[in-house]
Amino acid sequence: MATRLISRVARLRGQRFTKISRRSLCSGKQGEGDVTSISLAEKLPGLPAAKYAQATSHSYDTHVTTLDNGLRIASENKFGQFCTVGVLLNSGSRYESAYPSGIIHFMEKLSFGSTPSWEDKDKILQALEKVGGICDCQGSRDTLVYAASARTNGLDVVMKILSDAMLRPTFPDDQMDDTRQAILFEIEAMHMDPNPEMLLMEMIHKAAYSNNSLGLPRICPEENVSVITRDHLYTYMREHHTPDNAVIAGVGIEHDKLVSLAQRYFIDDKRPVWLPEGEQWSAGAGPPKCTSQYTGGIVQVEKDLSNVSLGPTPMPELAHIVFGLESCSHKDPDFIAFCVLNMMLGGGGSFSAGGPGKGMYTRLYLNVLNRYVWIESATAYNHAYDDSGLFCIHASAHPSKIRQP
Amino acid sequence: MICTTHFSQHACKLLSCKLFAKSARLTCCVKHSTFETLLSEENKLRTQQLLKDPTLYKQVPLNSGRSYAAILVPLCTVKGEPSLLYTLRSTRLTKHKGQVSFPGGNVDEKDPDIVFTALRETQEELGIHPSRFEIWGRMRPLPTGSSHKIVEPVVARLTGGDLDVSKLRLSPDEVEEAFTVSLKHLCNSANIGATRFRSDTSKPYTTPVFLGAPHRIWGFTAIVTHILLTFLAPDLYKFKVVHKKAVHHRHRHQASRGKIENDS
Repeated sequence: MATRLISRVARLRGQRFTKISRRSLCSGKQGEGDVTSISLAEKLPGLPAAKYAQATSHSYDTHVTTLDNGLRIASENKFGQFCTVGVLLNSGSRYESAYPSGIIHFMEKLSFGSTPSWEDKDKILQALEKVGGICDCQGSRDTLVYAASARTNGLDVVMKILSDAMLRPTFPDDQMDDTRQAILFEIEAMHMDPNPEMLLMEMIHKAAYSNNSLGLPRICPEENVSVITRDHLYTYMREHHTPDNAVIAGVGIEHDKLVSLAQRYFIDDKRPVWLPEGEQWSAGAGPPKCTSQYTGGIVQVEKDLSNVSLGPTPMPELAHIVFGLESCSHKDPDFIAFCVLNMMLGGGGSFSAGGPGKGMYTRLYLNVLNRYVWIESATAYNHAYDDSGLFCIHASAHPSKIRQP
Repeated sequence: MICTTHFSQHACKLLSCKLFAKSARLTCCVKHSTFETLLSEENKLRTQQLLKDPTLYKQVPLNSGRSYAAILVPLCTVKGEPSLLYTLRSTRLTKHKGQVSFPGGNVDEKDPDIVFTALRETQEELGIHPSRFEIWGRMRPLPTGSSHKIVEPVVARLTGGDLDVSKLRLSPDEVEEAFTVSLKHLCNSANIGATRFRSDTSKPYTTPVFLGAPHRIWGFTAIVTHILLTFLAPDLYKFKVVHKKAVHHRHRHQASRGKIENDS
């Protein structure tokens, strides 16, 4: 078949290909020209010269501008009709030490809600739909991201929406109540979930960084749902949503256009909603910097999950253990080494080896899961933050097997 | 040897309390000093005044059930630079294994006083004879939360020229490593951070942390280091531990539409 294909291609290109017979490329044929004896590093004899696609000479650089008040704007242009812009803030559950934990969770749920320019989330989504766009907000332990993606000609709307979402949310009471309900449901679902990964990650962080920064809960604790009010959110935003804490990043747009729109919507046009009249949005004293402290420790919870299966087949009753050690921050020179270690340990569930390329030759599969059948899953994780990191291995097995060496 | 990392509100209130304002007044008449003069006779006498001042000395009431311990805060010279000597606790110990600490230990019944305990423990752990130390004074006893121990730091200067850490005879059961950190490094604000702790069982507090040394200095050891530096080098050590109070807002049931009321 290969020979037929090559002959056809040669004929299409107008070349005559008489010298190669049908069988010359078959591995079964004896004699000189046996195709399997030719090194893969060399071209096959007699084939037409290949024409390679050229890399475009146009390369896109990353541009960074810092405005007077400390706001940084970065962009990289790319070919295409769509652009993505996001505002990233140094804000997250690790900064909530002086606040009731859970503010980031609230802000994530309330994101892109009512602002002075748009009545509610539906209006924002409709405005974005007109330019083929979507928006999302993600909060984590140390970053908060407001992002939107739309057609390039809709950049104006995107910037207006982002600036409103970050600086001018109004948090009306009905939305606050809806958010409280949603968070309570999420907490309940997390506890009922037979896959306890989210819960375990909370626990390992709490054990590793006891009572400080990174160990603070990322999911709003149940007792705080009714405690957090709009005032908490504004006080937090006043402290953390400052220009020196934020970066506006965009892909697929011209840098100058992004800078001028940022200047217009984030600084010139309107103030953040928590600033009184006459004040400028500027870098304040900022929140006191809090170095995360790895303390080590253990957190354990006993739970009866025997009734969570939805169908007639019972779910395997599993005990989960997460074992972790301090790794390094992503700024550290050793960070790459930890990433490589993570890849090499790999792992996953014992029923989903996946196949080649999905990690079935990683150490945790070869040395742990394949040898000890009673282990249901073993996975390695590497969390890297600004000033510290956590490398952990999560394993699960039937509770009776936990004591086995 | 003691190093504790959990604190009651006591120890951490000490860092930000008004007693320090008083010490600041006492030290404001000091001449501008440099790192070379920190261990000079003049600075030693001035520091000793602070260490002895009874008003700065909050007496912790003796309670039954509390045990006592002493640590030695050893000032030394390494390659001509004034430094502090720290130890890394061995992982063979049961408590606080692998953590950074000053040499020290529990008070034995036979010990005549706290200073004797500190020197005895230092000799056991680091092999330095007590006669090599010139005692400057004692810092106020500090309670430590979880174990209800009262720890009293004793400030001393190691005499006899430069210290070579590699020549110390360490006790392998108690000490993994001994290292020094220059006072210049500790006073550099780029190396100092602060961590705010918040727990369900005690009031929140903030402690300093010193980075960039062979090992991270945090917890109780960092607090003692911080207090010593404020006494010893008030015009060179400028770091202030800022504790952010918890933010409280009452839950308002009346909706205030669009209006924002800030209580700061």
